[in-house]
Amino acid sequence: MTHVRLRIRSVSGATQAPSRAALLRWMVVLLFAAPIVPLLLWSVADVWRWPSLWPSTWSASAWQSVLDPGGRALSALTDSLAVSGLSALVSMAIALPAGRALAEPWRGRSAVRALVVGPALVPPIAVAMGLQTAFARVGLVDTIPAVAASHLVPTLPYATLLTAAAFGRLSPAWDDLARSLGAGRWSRWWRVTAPMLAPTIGLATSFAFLVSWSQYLFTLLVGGGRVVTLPLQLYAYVGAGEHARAAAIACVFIAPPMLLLALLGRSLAEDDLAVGASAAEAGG
Amino acid sequence: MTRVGRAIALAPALLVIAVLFGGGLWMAALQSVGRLPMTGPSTTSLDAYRTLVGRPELWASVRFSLWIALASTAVAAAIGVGAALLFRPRFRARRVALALFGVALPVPYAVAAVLVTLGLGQSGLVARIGNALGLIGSPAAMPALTQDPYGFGIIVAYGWKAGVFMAFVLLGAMRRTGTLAEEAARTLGAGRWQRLRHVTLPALAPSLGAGSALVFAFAFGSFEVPFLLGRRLPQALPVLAWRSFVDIDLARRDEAAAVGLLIAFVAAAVLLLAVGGSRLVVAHRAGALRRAIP
Repeated sequence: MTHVRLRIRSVSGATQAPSRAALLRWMVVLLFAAPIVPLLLWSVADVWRWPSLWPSTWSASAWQSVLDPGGRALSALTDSLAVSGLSALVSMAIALPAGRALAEPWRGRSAVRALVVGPALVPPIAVAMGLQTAFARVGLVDTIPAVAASHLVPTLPYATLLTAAAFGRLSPAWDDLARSLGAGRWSRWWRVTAPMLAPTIGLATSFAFLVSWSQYLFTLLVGGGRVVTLPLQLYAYVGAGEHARAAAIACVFIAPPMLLLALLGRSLAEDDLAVGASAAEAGG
Repeated sequence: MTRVGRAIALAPALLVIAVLFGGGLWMAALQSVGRLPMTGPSTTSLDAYRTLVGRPELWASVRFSLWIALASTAVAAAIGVGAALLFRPRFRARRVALALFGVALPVPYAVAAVLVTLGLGQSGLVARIGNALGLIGSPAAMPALTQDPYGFGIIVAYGWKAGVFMAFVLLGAMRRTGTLAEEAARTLGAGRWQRLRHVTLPALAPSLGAGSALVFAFAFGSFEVPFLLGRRLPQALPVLAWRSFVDIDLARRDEAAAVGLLIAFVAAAVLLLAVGGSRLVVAHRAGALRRAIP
């Protein structure tokens, strides 16, 4: 008797409770994913007046303006690519040796690590104002290299942390094995270590690029209105009430981070995901 | 790596941090005490700080920024805990659900602010849906949710992105701790709420604390969200600093630098307190464990 009752309860528990939880789950998913939809709609809307819920006529003109060779959106895209490409490359060149040193245990390592991470976590406004003043004095202000240099403040910490994680996961056994098989120093580096590091180094480079990609304040202050990257042009369109153009340029702006997450979502190691999530968070 | 090798390997990184981060802060500090005047002779004085303290504008901004940061942190923590509990079990299409839920993660804050404008503005989508339901007659009847005195739109933008961030941080923490302790509590007869309150949440506390400190520091000091979604008064501290920096009155740059330093100081203090607090908790727990196991 008791046995039967127990079985019935467990069966009903298995069918009812999950379906209610499933409904709630998908409602939450919908609520959090929904904000992105108006962006796609606005980017192809021609006339979309109050109070219609749907654009009344459609147009590709916002997208055409984004691709217009002489247009502001395309020049913002090239400025963004130049600034972020430059700061990603420079931060990786610096992060590779630093990450290797930080991967080994030694006294005082955690203090140096905190010193490296700090600049990414402290709000940038004071640093950005100071750099603007400094660059202005040496005549470097309003140039792409100056903006890229200022972006190193948030990109270098993440590049270094991710590189250190990559070196930390590297097992010395492979290097020892290659050495015992007679491989020299350079061939061990190129044929054993480098290929094993490559995926995470690629990840670190991408994150450095993306952290720079979403910077706003450093570009605004150090770029002095001459270096106009995608987020600055986005705000200019919003300020001018050009919703369709704003939506189209926002789509271009969010495409690289979305793509990277879609590509890497499966293969990210757990600690990389944690650093990556905070990079996405702190990077804006 | 030898000691010297390590020093050489770390030198470029430390040099860049010292020059760009340290140098930037140093220039801001010099400016705030009048050593880098745009016009007139260089002096050393605390005039900028004195003028600032006398401005009611500053105190309104301090209150507003603290409010935004606290409210956003609370909203993000609540979303994070709720969503992590909801998405923790295995269920069908979990990967798809998490990918869609996590769409906010790669969205830059500038775009999040634009989305809030398009969605919650007075002629935004929410107002239009209200109109279709017969609740709102005209855009003017829509309650102001952006450029409002309480920073509602700002908190929504931070809550959306930071809430998703917290959820992923907590899901990671849950995966690391596993379900052993909860299963043990269940076999000992603990109910659902007892398990949540006495087992799950204490295990998550370090991650929740660290994540909250990050969100607070970020929401307190970041510029682009209140720049787009805030209004002239009260304005968030970073917006106040920027407006003073680009003011026609060049003397106000000294005040701007002082406000910038204040923001950095508060955020750094919160982060350091969080690090210290988590160390204390860990030490406390280790002590309790040592006493429990003779």
